[in-house]
Amino acid sequence: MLNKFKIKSNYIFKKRLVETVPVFSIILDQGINNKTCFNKTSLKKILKYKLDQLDLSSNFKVQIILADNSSFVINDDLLDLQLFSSNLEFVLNKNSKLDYNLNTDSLKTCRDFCTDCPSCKKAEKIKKELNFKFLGTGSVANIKISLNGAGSHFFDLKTVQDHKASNSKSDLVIKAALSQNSNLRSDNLVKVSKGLEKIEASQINKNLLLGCFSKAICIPKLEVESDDVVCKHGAAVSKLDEEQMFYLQSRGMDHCNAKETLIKAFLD
Amino acid sequence: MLEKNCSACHNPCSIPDISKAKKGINEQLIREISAQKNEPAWMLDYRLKAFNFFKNKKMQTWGPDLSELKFDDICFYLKPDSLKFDGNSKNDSWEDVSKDIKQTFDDLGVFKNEKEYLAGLGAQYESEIVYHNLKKEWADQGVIFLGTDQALKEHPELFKKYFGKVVSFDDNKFSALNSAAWSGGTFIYVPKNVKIDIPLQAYYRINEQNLGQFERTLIVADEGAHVSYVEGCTAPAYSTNSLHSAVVEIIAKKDAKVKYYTVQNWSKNIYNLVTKRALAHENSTVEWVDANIGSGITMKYPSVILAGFGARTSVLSLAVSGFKGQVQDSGAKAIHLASDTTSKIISKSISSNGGIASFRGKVKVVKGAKNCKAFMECDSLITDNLSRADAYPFLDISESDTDVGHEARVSKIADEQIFYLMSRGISFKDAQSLIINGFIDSFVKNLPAEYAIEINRLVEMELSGEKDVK
Repeated sequence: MLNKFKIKSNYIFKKRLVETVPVFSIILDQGINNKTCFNKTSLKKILKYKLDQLDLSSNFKVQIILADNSSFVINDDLLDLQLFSSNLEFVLNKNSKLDYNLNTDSLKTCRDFCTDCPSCKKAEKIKKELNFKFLGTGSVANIKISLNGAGSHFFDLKTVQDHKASNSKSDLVIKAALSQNSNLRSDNLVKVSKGLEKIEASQINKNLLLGCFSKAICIPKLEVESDDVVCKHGAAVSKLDEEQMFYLQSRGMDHCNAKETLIKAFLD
Repeated sequence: MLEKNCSACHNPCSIPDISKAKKGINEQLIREISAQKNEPAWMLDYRLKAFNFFKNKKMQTWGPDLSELKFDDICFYLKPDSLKFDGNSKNDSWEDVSKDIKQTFDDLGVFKNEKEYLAGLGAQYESEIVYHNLKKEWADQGVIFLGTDQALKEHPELFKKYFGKVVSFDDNKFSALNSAAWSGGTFIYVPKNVKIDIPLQAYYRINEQNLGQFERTLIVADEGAHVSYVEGCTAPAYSTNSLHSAVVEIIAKKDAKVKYYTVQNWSKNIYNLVTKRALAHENSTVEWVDANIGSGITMKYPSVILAGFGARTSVLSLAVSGFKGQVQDSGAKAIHLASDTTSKIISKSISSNGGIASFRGKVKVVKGAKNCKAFMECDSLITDNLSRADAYPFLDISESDTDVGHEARVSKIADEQIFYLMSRGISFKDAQSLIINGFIDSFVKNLPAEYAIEINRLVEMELSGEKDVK
């Protein structure tokens, strides 16, 4: 709920010299009297009142600043607004906590091997740039991205976990089920600046290739300049487990249902 | 006679005086090199084409900073004065090698190793191979183990058939430079079903400052053949930079097995920019074991093109970056072009005292290459706050029937581990080196026993800064 937290300063619409795109800055603060541990909200709600200021067809960047000690669960539902390309920056201050979730359920998907269906024919490019900046000590971010691709979806995902303060933690999980002609390009960077302590950062990128022409490109990167860190990343690309498919089918599920169930379980 | 401390043996090594050659590279120099080596016309053509490409190709913008590498300050070809080898003689006896050069290799323990556990040995000093010998039992079976220049003269057809087929001159700027100015290197041909069970070795030495060494190595293992090859590199410490830009091509035919070990221990001021690639045919196996300990800046990414059904590869690499300004930019590539191919890339890197260790890896599976398995792992250890570790893996998968995995981890030595060992009465320094030895253990286990101890000692020395003494 938007009224659960204060918007400290109103949307600032200004063109910064260093940026080539306009930047909207939003500060989220729980407020002193608000005892709620989590504020669950969606990007659509955060941007709700100023949507008229946004020109959805042009490039812009949204900067969301989490105030000290704040804690938010943010669901990214910009795809509902047909906003296929977005550039988001989350700035985490001292002891702030962010749970960011992105899933593409709202995209119309069709897993049949049809060629005439409009959703399969339509090539949609979904471009996301997500930048998580950890400026305050003790800041934590859990980032979950589930991509359910079908038809000719092309997911272009770029994430940066930029640790600039000690004791910060980030955890990125990307799961993609790519059917038919859908493609994924995932460029993920963990950056740890000099002289920091107790940093934990992880990236997991799991991909299922289900279609004859589906393709995944994963570029996980680590740039670490401090020694007191545990940074790790893992990436895997494979197909559906045939044994699991066989098991479900032996219990009476048809092929398509079994496949859907396994994909759902994988993305969950 | 000059006296310098050698980076490998840490004793003063004898260094012969060498007549200075002109610095910089131009078409005239390339024609001179080719003429001096009495090369056929096609090779001169190839060199000139490569030189044109090199001139026009811009320096890459990614990776370590190479802006201080000035091609005009580098001497591109230098033949030791005292070298008897004139491009036609066989140089297969230590007796023919000049006393000074022989002394240098003797100090490095190369001569002793040959007698004890090698099937053959080659030694390159500056731009030329000074010694090459193969034990009779292998020569009798048709194995060819020669300096690359000599191989071009003695086996021109075989040479032309394979030369430049895996790494073309237009692959990158440094492969073009090597193709234009190459001199020396090793040529190995193992005939069908010949299995060489002990390693062949080549030793590369740059003794002069501001020198470029551009050796060219070509290994061909015919159907069912087995061969392992060890390459060692050293240079004494100078204040000015030298360049080592080699090209290594390996062709493993059906059912062949090739193992390639490199222990690179160049001195601090060497730019080590190397292109290494293997082509693996049906059911063949190619293994790279690659240790990068010395040099100032290293860019080296051994790659394998798995072109035949069932081909396998494994790449094990170790990078130790032990002083400020040292950049070990290493990694590996596996390109799966055929079905049922497997690749395993395991990289260990250690950064300390302000060094930078970067891993760049790539796994590519093309459409139609079914049932491929690929695994890439990169472990980095940072021992202090001044150092840096980067990992840039790249997975490009176009086939759904594959199983590809990747893991990377960057961390410091765990305090608990140090505490445990110290509580057992081990000093901090010993505890640290014990943990580092454990960290690189999976790499060391894959080396021949003679090298395993040497690597542990070298890593220890590099990290403790003992090498700075020279």
